[in-house]
Amino acid sequence: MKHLFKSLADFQQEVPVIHKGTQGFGYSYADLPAIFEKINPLLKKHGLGFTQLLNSKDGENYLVTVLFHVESGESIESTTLIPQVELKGMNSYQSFGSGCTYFRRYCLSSICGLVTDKDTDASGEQVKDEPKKPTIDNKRLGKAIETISAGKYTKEELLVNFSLTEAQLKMIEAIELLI
Amino acid sequence: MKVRCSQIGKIMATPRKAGEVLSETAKTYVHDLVLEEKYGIKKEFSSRYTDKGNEVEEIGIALVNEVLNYKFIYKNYEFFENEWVKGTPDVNTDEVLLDVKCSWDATTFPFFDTEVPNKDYYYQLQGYMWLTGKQESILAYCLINTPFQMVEDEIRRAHWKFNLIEENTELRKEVESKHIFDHIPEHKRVKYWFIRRDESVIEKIKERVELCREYYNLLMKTI
Repeated sequence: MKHLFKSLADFQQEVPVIHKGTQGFGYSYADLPAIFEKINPLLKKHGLGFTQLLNSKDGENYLVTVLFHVESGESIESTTLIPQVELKGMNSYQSFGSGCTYFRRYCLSSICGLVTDKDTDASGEQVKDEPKKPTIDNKRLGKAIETISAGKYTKEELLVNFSLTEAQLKMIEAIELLI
Repeated sequence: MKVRCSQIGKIMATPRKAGEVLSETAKTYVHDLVLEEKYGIKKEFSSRYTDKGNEVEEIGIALVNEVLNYKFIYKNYEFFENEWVKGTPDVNTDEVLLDVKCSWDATTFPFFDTEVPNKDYYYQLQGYMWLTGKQESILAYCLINTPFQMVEDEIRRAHWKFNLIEENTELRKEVESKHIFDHIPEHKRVKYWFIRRDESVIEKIKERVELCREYYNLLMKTI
């Protein structure tokens, strides 16, 4: 396996992060054409190839993903069950096709060790934003400053309640100097 | 026992059964208060609707500020209470006493309503006027874009509903159309009602709070 492993390691050093150009379910994902576009030239360069086979056994369908080293014939493979799910609005064949595409993408990414953009959803790494102070546009800030000048609001309240830009902070300082 | 202004509507509901003084809704509200006081059982209410409301509240205030052309209105943090009710109005400045309701999506925004869509909010503002001494208040519904991540959650939810694995562009557009309103002019995204203070209503609230208090005290002794 040394030829395959060396080539795969070299390939992984060179393959870029594949950006997820397709939107889906709250996160973007790299679809199959995007993955092929990036990896095919590099696989060729490192003497690697892959194939994905559909097999059936005991009424179940499996996706077999094979990654091979062209010259030595060394290969590794993974076998994944494609669950039979009936998707609403699709007939059985369409549902199956959708499942195949889905698993082809993940199995290929997995066997090649591809890194796509950080998945903010399915990876469980989603981090809820800390509550942020609201921003204030300049027009409203102008109104706020007038209200402060009239003694009905304070600069401190403004700073505590809003997130101001550098320029807005400077504006306030300048006005304070004038006052 | 004091009633939150946002909950006054619950105790003002008319009982269905003849001879009853408190409606089932009012009783349930009192039960919750009793459980909280007696055993510390607190009924937390949070949903995507309230989450959005909290998240975009300040944007709603800014929109009302702009559309109604006030000098500067801002979020109020002062808590008010009297002997009967308590609460924190959204905005309480010299110019205006305001409560902002940010609609969950376009379908829940009262585009065509001519009267206050929810009587509970009318009572809520009567409560705030009672607490602040104001004679007039504004109930403003705002149509604010749903925050990005919440829209994406809705898109995912819609896909789950239809058992879709791959993203469906039409479904995405359909969900987004309910939550993104940049194409609607700002002044059309605020619908507001002036609500005048009504002493007779305040008197009824006071009476109803006292009835609730009797029921509350009874339950506190028996539970």
